[in-house]
Amino acid sequence: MSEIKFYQKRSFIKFTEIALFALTFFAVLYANYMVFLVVPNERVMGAVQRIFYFHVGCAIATYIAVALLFLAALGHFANRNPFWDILLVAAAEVALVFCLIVMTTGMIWGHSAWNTWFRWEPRLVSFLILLLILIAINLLRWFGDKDKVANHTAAFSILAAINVPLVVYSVKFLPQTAQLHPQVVQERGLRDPSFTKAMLITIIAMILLQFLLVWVRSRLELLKRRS
Amino acid sequence: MKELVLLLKKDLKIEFRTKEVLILQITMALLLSTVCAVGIEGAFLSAANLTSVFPTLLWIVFLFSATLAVSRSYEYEFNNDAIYGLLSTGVSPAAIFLSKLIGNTVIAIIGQFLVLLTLAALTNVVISPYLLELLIITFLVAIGFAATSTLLIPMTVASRLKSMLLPLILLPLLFPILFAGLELTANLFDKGTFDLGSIWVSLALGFDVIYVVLGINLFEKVILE
Repeated sequence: MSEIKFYQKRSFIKFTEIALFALTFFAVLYANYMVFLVVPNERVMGAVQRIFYFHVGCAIATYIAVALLFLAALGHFANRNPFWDILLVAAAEVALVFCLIVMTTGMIWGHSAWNTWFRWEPRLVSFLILLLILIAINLLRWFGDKDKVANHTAAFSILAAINVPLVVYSVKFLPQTAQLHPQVVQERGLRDPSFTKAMLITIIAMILLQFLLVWVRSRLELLKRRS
Repeated sequence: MKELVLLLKKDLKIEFRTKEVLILQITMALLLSTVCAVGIEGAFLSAANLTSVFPTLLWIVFLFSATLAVSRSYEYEFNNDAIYGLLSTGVSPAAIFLSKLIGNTVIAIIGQFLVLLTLAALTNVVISPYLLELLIITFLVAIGFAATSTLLIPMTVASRLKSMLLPLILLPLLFPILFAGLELTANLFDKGTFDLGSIWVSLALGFDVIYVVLGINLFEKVILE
């Protein structure tokens, strides 16, 4: 069982865990400080605009989790090491959590900016489909064929992960009255230098949080399988 | 190639003798169309509104009946593990996948036309000028639908939810192709135009190719340990 060997390097685990935890803790703390205490109120939106930092950070973390999912699925078919399957379980669940956060924060923001919870708008639709796909992967994992579920979720994840960039590309052709979703970065909308800094810090914090959650979930899955 | 023809013949022969899928599809199309028609009758939609709602109803009913119809396409393979017997004769998994894919595509296309006929008849929408275009659109969607469902059905056979799981995991993967089909049909009924060079046709075709290629490669890994 090579995966157990990998996790049994005790000192390595302890060090990674503590380092990752400490880094994430301070990054999230600093991000909260920047977003809530340093950044000035946005002119039009007011305080609600502060949710945008977490929204963008979580969206990027979702994409990274999906990339991890794809990597784990490919790795599983490459050498059938249980490590990949454990990573796949963790990445699928963490991706779902972050995708849900993105949808929720986006809806809160949308309700105050556009006075509607959801618009039939390219980026919103692509994330909605991503959310549904991630729910499907987790459903397959929970209710699937117990003996072959590792193979099945890996195969499904490959289909899903290839789907994601295509969906993001293709929803641009959906009928739409206007492109409502703000294209902040493309339009260089971050005027105040503290905006950019807060944005970067939040993205880094969310990515670190995502890796920490994947790590914790993998350890949990391993313990569950050992018992 | 010979294997493929033999497998297809076997499936067709079984279907010809039992007529299970055909009967199921006719009944489903009739039942669901009736539900839709009753709703539309009650809403007193104008003719123009009716034609813009029609594509949506068409694809909902199609999804319902087609998912139900294809979900039992491995009935004889997974009963008593007959698929392992089939594999031990030297048939390649890719051939099994392709034969089921063709079978399911045909099922989906026939199902869509049954739905079209019953729904159009019950809601008084004129479809006769668009039959050829509708066939092309249905073909585009049916290939992608059949490729994904043929790959996903073996995953659901031994699950705790049985075939209930199939629509839950199938629909999210189908959205891009469905959007394309929906857009093309809506254009057809609204403006009466169908453009083979439109982005939606290439989108649906692209997804069809991806799903078929991935299906051929992943199928072996799905059915075997």
